[in-house]
Amino acid sequence: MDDADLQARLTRLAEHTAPPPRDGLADVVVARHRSRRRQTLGTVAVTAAVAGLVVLTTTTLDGPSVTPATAVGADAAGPESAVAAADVLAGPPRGSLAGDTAFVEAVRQLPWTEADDPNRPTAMTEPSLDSRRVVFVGDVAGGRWALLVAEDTMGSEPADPASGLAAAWFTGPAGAAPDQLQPASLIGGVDLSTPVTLSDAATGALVVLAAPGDQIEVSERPEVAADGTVSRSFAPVDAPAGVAVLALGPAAGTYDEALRYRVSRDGVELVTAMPTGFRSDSTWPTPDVPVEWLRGEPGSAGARSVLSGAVDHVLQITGLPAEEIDVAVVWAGDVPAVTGPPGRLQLLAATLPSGAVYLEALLSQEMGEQRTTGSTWCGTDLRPAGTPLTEQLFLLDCPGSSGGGSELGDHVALIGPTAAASAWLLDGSGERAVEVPLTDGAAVVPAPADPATDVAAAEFLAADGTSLGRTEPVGYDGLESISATAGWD
Amino acid sequence: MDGTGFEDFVSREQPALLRLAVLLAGDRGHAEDLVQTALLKSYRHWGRITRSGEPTAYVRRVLVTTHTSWRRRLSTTEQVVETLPDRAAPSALEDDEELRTALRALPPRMRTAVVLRYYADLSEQQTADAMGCSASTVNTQTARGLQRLRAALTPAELAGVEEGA
Repeated sequence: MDDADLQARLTRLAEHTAPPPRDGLADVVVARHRSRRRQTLGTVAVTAAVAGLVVLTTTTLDGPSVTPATAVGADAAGPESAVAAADVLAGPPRGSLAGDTAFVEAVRQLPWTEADDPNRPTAMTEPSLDSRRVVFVGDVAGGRWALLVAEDTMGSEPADPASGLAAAWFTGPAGAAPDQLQPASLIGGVDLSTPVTLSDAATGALVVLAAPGDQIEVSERPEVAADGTVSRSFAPVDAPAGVAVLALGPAAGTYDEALRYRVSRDGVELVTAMPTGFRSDSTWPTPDVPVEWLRGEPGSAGARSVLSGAVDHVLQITGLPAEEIDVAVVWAGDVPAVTGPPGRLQLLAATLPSGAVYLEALLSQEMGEQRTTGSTWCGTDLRPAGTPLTEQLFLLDCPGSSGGGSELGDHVALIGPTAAASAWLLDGSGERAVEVPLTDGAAVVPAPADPATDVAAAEFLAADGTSLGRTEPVGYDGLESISATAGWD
Repeated sequence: MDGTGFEDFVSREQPALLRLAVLLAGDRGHAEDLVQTALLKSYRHWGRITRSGEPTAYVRRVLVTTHTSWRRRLSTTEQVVETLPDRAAPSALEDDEELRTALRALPPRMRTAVVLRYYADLSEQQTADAMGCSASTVNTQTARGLQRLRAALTPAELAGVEEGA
């Protein structure tokens, strides 16, 4: 299936399965908006009354006093006036070198279509010099950066057709001359109302460009509590003229996918998102993190490479230094292949500072004669602190895959305590469907061929038949929980 | 507030939003909820959105971010509680059940990246903008999503990594 086939199938699927448009939907939405607005204002009124205006409480709760507030808040003012629109890229150049007119002019003339470093992105067409404007130019941690806007020659569907602009970040080493700056990120169809960002995982430099007066906050990483819940704390940062230039320290992983910024205007949140990221040192080696092997041994070089990549991924999404994470492989073993060499399943567990555990189940297989290794996930999970990994139960639903003359069928992996002698696969009604003998507490078996036997859970049993508990298949909630972008609303 | 522009937009774009939503959400009921929630969020800023130009990309971004944070939203205050009437199901023969099943098996962010790149035909950067993440994340999520889709749909190639890479 090539890209065109996939696009055609997706289009057909969307056309055939989308529900029909609903008449009057706009009216429904407007009515719901006004209803919610009244509820919010009513809550505010009640809160004020409880705080001290006892006399008003009865009036407010009776209803009539809420109505005038609704008229003012929802209909007269309107939601669009809550935050004034602002062009975040407007105005003269900002940044520590903005006053160096010769440097600014030299940066304005930098080519967008050329870069000495082949890893750098370049534009296909040079924007006209007349259309170029320097928005930011300055020193950042470990480097010197510039942001320019110009006519959009990238041919992309614009996010903001009114702007007609593209933007380009240029970066170079500390103290770089203008001609040492090279493109690091190109943005077509610039939305002038959306803050522009860039972060460098190698140095920890972060620049957030918003409108003057905007409030900027940063959250360096998610916080995972012992019970496995994930939260974030945002700290305000200095943003003179709407620009925050921060030195956060190098990321532990190859990229920093844990970092989030938030921009608010007049107390109203505009956006919370992950900054655009790049890495200024492309020769970065994958971090060498110690791994404890609880059951199983390191496999082939390809399997070890897959594991190493997964450890890097954990560092990227958690934003934690390697020394603050204890990495273990709960179980590793072969997966029978339909054709080709056996696959390798590795259940990676990263114990976070709170004791909560992030898990990634990695399935890989050597392919063809090119000494390549294909890999995929069988799930990710985030579990609370407490139960030792060697005593937990895992049910993994591993999809079949193939390539390069090798093929793995669909498999189910069961991993329990070493005391577990067998396990039952349970169907959707909770009935015992298939019994699986376990070796050293674990097994990998072909998924039941009968579609009716949809594995919904597994129950692990000791040798004497005592139940050790049941568990459902590991999904992808772990990654979702940690990576969810907080606060966009 | 003048709702005329909003009504025109909903009338014009609702079918396309529903098509995108059904691929993201995986079923018709959630697709309808998703579109309605995205429109509700967008309506709150409608004046600002329309002053900035054509609102389609903005609403699509809201729809996508609403989808990718759906679990979190359901646990707070953003769930759509209104029950929409059942509608006639399309012909089963027209459905690509294999693809639908494979799509639904993808984690939400992975599914979103694939759908935006290969259905909505957005660039990596546009997809990143819509998802509120970096282009490198989109690249990774798309590659992993394609890998899983191809494995599920046809005996196609896994995405390979060079040993020792």
